[in-house]
Amino acid sequence: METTPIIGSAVGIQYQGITDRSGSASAAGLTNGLIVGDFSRGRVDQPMLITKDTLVQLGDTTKPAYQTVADCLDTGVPAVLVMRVSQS
Amino acid sequence: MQIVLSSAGVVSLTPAAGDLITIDYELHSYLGDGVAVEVALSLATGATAPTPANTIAQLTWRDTVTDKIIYRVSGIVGLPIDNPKSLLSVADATDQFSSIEVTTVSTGFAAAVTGSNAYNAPNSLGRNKVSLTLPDDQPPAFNADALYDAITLMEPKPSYLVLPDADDLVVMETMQRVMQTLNVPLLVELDPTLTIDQAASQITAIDAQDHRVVAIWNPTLSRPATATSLRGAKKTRRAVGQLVGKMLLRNARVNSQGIPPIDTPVAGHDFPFTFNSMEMRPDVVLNNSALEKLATAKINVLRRLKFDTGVRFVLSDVLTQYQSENSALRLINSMEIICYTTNIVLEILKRHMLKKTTGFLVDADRDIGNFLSACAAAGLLQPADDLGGQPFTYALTADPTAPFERVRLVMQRRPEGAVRSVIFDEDVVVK
Repeated sequence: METTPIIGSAVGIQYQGITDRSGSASAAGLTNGLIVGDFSRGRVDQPMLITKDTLVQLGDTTKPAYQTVADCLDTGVPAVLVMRVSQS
Repeated sequence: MQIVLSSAGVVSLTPAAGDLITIDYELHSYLGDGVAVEVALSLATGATAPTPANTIAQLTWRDTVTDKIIYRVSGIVGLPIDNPKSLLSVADATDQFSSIEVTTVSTGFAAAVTGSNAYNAPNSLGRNKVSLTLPDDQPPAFNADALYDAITLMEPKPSYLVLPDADDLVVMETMQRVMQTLNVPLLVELDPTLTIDQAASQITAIDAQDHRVVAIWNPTLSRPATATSLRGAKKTRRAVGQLVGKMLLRNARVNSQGIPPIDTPVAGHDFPFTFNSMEMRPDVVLNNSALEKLATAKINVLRRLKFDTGVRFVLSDVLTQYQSENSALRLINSMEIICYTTNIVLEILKRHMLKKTTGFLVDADRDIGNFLSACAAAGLLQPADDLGGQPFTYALTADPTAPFERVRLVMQRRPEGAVRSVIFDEDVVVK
């Protein structure tokens, strides 16, 4: 006896795999901060995920936006999203 | 940018005919100035004579001011990208390069590599490297539409937009457009060196008038994060980084149903700011008239307050930029609850879209009901007389004008508030 996705005249079992209904409605978290500012280094086309180890990728440590990112990470947040904007 | 090894063994940024190794790369990042790239060449384990198939190049981009490593990649120069040991494969995996190509020439390769200052022979200490200072690398001019697209299309969607510098009006306006699209709070910080009048007039001039815009101002002095001496001058600094950090940490403390405690505003006694050696700016006197002026401009000021438990520097208000005297939307926590519940309900609707109508009505109704009940149980929504004593009401029905393809959701809820004022009447009686 065959197990097949579409049963015909032959003896067999029609089976099309499992349908997953176990996923429950999950509320999205609110833990993604995006800091937008003027940095001396970094990409401008997309946000960057910055951690304490990769802070150096933002360049000049005296810029206000850099200090904001550093302060945010100092509170214990593991990583924060950063968007660099060019000077307008 | 091209890094080359010439036939004479010289590593440089200047390509010429006859180069034996040419690494032509472009980073996503614009590195600015003060960056050098270090090149070190060595051989794979067991190799004795350099060939393109066994020579490892290690490239290190280093900040020349702090000496910290920005990026580092290391791999065999002559192998194709399919080989995981190749420089191409290692560089590609970092996601930092928009393009990288390596070209090698076999003729005279061994002599050029072994004659180079960057070459580290097998069993040597491995400290030889050549450092090349990169030219200044600046990004293209600001493009508001590109910024809008980059943020609105990013994943994951941001929960907060933070603008540490509200001075740049073009960026500010773009961020307001982004905020409208994403329906998330926008935290902006005013220049900490402004006077009270300047701060009030600046935010009044921006005139955001939106409940999702929150303005803060930090007229305090503290020791800078980069200070190396206890005697150095104290400086002004931005506080919005620490504020958003506290908000994200608060939001991570979800209850068992996944609801974040956003009914608790991050302000006042329980959320002190902790910059080193804080004090108020001596030229900023926050007397009654100054505080009234700042509250009228709806600026949340970080200031020193004396509590019965001691002195703390706290955010001393919870106002949004909403133009109203008594709406719930003028309070930060109420605004956060409104944004959060709206966004989650939108997500629920999206998830069930394109199902058959009766299935949609049953499934979306159930999920919205469960979600709002969970919010009410967590304290985000409070009972309201207008809603018959319920914290929320909603109705999801098929639209009579287009019953086959359109449904209608009507939702009302009453968010939690925050106490900004107390009226205290007291009497003394004889008996």
